Amino acid sequence: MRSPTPISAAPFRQRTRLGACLCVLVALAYYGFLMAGAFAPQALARPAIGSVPWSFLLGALLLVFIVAMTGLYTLLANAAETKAGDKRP
Amino acid sequence: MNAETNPTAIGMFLAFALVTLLITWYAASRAKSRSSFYTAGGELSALGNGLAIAGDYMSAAAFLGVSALITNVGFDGMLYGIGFVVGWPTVLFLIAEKLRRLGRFTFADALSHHLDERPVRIFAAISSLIVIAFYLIAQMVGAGQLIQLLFGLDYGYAIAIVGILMVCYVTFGGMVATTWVQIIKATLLLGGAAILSVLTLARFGFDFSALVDRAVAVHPKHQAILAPAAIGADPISGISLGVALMFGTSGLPHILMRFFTVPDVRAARGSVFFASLFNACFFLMVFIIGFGAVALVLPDPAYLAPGGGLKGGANMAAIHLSRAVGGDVLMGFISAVAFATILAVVAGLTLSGASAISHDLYARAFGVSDEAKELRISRIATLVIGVVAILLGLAFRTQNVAYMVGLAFAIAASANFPILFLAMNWRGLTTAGAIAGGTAGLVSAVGLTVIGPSIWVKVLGNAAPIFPYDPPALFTMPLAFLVAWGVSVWAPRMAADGVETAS
Repeated sequence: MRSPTPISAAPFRQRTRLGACLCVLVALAYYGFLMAGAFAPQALARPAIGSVPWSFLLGALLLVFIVAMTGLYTLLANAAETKAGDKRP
Repeated sequence: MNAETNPTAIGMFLAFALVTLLITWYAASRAKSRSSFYTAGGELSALGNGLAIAGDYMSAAAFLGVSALITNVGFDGMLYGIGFVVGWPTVLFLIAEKLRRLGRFTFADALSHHLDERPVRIFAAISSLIVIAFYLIAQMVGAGQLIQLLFGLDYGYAIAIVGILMVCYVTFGGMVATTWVQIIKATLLLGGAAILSVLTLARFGFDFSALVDRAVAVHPKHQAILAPAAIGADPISGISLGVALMFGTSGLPHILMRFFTVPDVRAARGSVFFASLFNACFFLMVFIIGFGAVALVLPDPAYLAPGGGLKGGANMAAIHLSRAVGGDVLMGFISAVAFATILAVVAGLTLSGASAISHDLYARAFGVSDEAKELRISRIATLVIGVVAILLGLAFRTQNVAYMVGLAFAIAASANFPILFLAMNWRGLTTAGAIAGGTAGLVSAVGLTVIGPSIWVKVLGNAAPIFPYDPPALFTMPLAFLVAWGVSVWAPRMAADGVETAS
């Protein structure tokens, strides 16, 4: 049976800061892409590779970026936890 | 109407139903405690849980709806796909960590840590049930229409089959069965989408450029399918949808519940990573499928209805494509997977609705601390939700319910997310502030949607909307934060002033 664990202070605060930074990065990339779609759709429709337009390429890259950021956070947070020897749930 | 019976589809679906019911039977022997009923005993692996979380987002609406949207309007459909993935980092960075440490079965556990338990639980349960109701109605109506199309089965029977199977999974198998149904379906759906995209690309010698050229040549909008269009016409609605999708995920009770099904916070983080990975792969494949349908289905008169448009409606684009590239066998497989998808998603919704009633309301808010009684209530709640879902599915059968998933996201982003975020990050939040902020978000999200384009105009038939933006999350989410902050800060001061003046 699990029970809520008390919050350990310093590493936890670091993770909160890391999470906030990465969240801002993802939001910038996502809303930046939406803004480009709203105000420069013609530029996005230009071909990037062969007939594949920039919209497809940047959209796919945005997805890769989102996954990479969640992966990065998971790696860093898990590594910090291992280092701190914090094995509690 | 596509009423030809497809033996592969029926055989595949029966096999799926049989396997999942066997799992339910196995899980039933284990679902004896609250912890195993609500959270599968917290024993899932990050990979399994990640697949199940991703499965919650790979609904029939996402698979058939987004590919159909791409087939219809082109790149705009892909913006939806990206929006469904961008919610994951938000959940991971802002919510998952603390939620996992503070909660046990539902997200209301984490809310009631610093706040007065009873009112906060009651609010969270009501808001959860409203979100779940809208989500569930959209899924049920979609299910009835889809199964009618794919299997030639009457709408009423289709709804009843979905309702009965989901109640079986949840009542007898709890979270263990619900999760395995989701994992099996997610694997089948990812596999099916992969086969479909590879076969589609093979038609063009694995040259994506050639596929794009062909799609632009045959689509009535030609070049216009390569760039976003809707967001240029109405940037505020576009950004608002972005806000609803990015923050709504963090307020969906059936998603938040899944952070308690793994053994520790590491596995919880890993689950979100896997979920985002699977969802990103899935929507990239849906993108290929959508454009594949433009290139291969639209020009083929065999798939077109006499009056124009696709046979069986726009949502059939991916199904027609499966027949075009893989014949009746692949079409049967994809149809069966679409059915399984609906079942898995409604089962997850039902379980989280039942836990809001039995855990948040019955056990915690009204203080019944008997585990056996709480379990019995959750099973009764499941049955009631199942019956209500069937009835709502029948009641809304002819209604345009497209706005309901959007509304569920808008409420989740405007009511649940702000108070959950504040409760876990700001010590100054008071119970009154949380309730006032959450209520402001809930009421404004519902109210502005009702007087907005998708209900006021499309459902009620008025000429112009009173509130022009849809969804309203861009305005209602900040409103909830503002009200929660204002009431938390000013109400105690005003009360103190009142006491001073009185004395």
